[in-house]
Amino acid sequence: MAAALHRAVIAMRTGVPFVLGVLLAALSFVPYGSPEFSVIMPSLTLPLVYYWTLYRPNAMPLAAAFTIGLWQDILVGGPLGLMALLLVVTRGVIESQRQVLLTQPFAVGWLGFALISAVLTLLAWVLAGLWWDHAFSVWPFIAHWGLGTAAYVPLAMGFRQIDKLMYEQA
Amino acid sequence: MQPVRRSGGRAARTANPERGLAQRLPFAIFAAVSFGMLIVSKVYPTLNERVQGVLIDVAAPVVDVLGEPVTVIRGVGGAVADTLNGAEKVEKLRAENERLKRWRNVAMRLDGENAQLRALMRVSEETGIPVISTRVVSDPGGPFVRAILLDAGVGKGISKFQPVMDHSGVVGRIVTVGRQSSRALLLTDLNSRIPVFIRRTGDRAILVGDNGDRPKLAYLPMQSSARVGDEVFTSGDGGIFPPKLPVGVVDFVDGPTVRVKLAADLSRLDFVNVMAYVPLEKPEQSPVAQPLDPLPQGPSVAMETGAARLPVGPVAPADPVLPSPPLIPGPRAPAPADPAAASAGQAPPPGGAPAQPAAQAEPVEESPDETPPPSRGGT
Repeated sequence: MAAALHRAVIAMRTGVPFVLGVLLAALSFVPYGSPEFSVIMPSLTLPLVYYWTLYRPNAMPLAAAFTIGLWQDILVGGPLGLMALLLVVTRGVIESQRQVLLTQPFAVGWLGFALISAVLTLLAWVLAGLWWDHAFSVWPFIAHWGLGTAAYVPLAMGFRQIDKLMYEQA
Repeated sequence: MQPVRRSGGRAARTANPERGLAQRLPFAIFAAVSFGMLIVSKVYPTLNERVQGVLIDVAAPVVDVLGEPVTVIRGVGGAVADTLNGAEKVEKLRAENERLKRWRNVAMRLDGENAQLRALMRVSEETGIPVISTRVVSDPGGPFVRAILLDAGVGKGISKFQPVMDHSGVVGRIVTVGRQSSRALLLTDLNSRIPVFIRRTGDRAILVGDNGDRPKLAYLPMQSSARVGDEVFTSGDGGIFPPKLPVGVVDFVDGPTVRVKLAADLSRLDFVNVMAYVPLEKPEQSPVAQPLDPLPQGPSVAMETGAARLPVGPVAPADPVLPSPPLIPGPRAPAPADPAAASAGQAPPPGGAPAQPAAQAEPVEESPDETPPPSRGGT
């Protein structure tokens, strides 16, 4: 009984961030009634992968980051692999830097997110430009990055609550 | 101290190289797989499209369920706004109703004239194109693609390339079809290209999306006199779209750059109509219509598909789809609205649609003006 409960807790700990990623990815595509906003809609999965890789890397394995990215690619309807690549890179880079970032206060972690999301947005802009053979306007991407950076704070607070529920009370 | 620390770090990294490799290998594999998928989807767009067609049926219901609370909140917000602005809205609707009544009278009169002329010219009635009403499930959701998911697929008769409209005009066209869902590319997407014409001048062009909210008109004739306020409609060239569907109005002209404000309200796409229109020809690679392709020979094909055009001859009716008080001249072809265009031999084509040599029932005298004008440039 205790073993089964333990297994269920482990499954929940790895499953919840993944399910959360699937839902957050889909939430970006819900019709909000504003075409302008839908264009600059931030990627909500990037903060998710960043947070869980930083604080609970076991709960966000590479396969989960890859699958969430692929799911986002399906929702976009563009090239398969673009968001998957970005989230896998996020997972890889943050895992390699987490020992440094973990010892820092939240504001530095936020700055770290702002930096990596800026690099990834630039990478997305370049890859999308190559894929579509089109020089995209940079402004929607800058707005997309800015909103994503701003969204990190409330999202991270929400993830922290879920984290507490799963690890401190389970 | 510093060299020692550096040396220690290197030692630590090289002390257990197998562990480092084991940590990096999964990352390298997943990154390579993702990048490989990106390359494959670029090299084999058809494969990418097929996979998307299968997966779209998984994606649409999830977004649909998540969108329910947002729809409710938007509905409540709209109701509150309506209540607050009730009196003003009623007055606005009353004025609009009066205006529409006048247009209805014009439309009825033109419909009668049109029927008479069709009988005179022995042209069969245009086949009405059935529409499939469907709910919009998703927004574009990012800076890459301007596309929406629809709650109808093959099961409801949706097929690729079909035009999508709201109550005011063209919204886009179907690009991916699943069993229960489909994806429509909006006119604003950078891959969107549709042949159009300007009603006042008869000039043809290609409406090109660039991910902005106002698509551009490309390939306008050099001497085009397009101006702000000109109405733009689909020309039907290439056979992908039926002719004479409202697209929008010209709202920006600066040298060769002409932009169109869409008639469709892309901010309120709750429901759309997909026209069950069978394209005359389907592009092989891309869903992008080929610019200014001639129609297949003979009018019969067009009539079968509901895209029948009125034969162009010396006597032609006014445009039955686009009634306008100044253009109700009776059975004779209307005089050009723009004297400059008339002097340049650019009379608006009878019937509103540009003359199509391939679809002519009777031979028309060729004039030097019918040769295609030099392109104004695509951008």
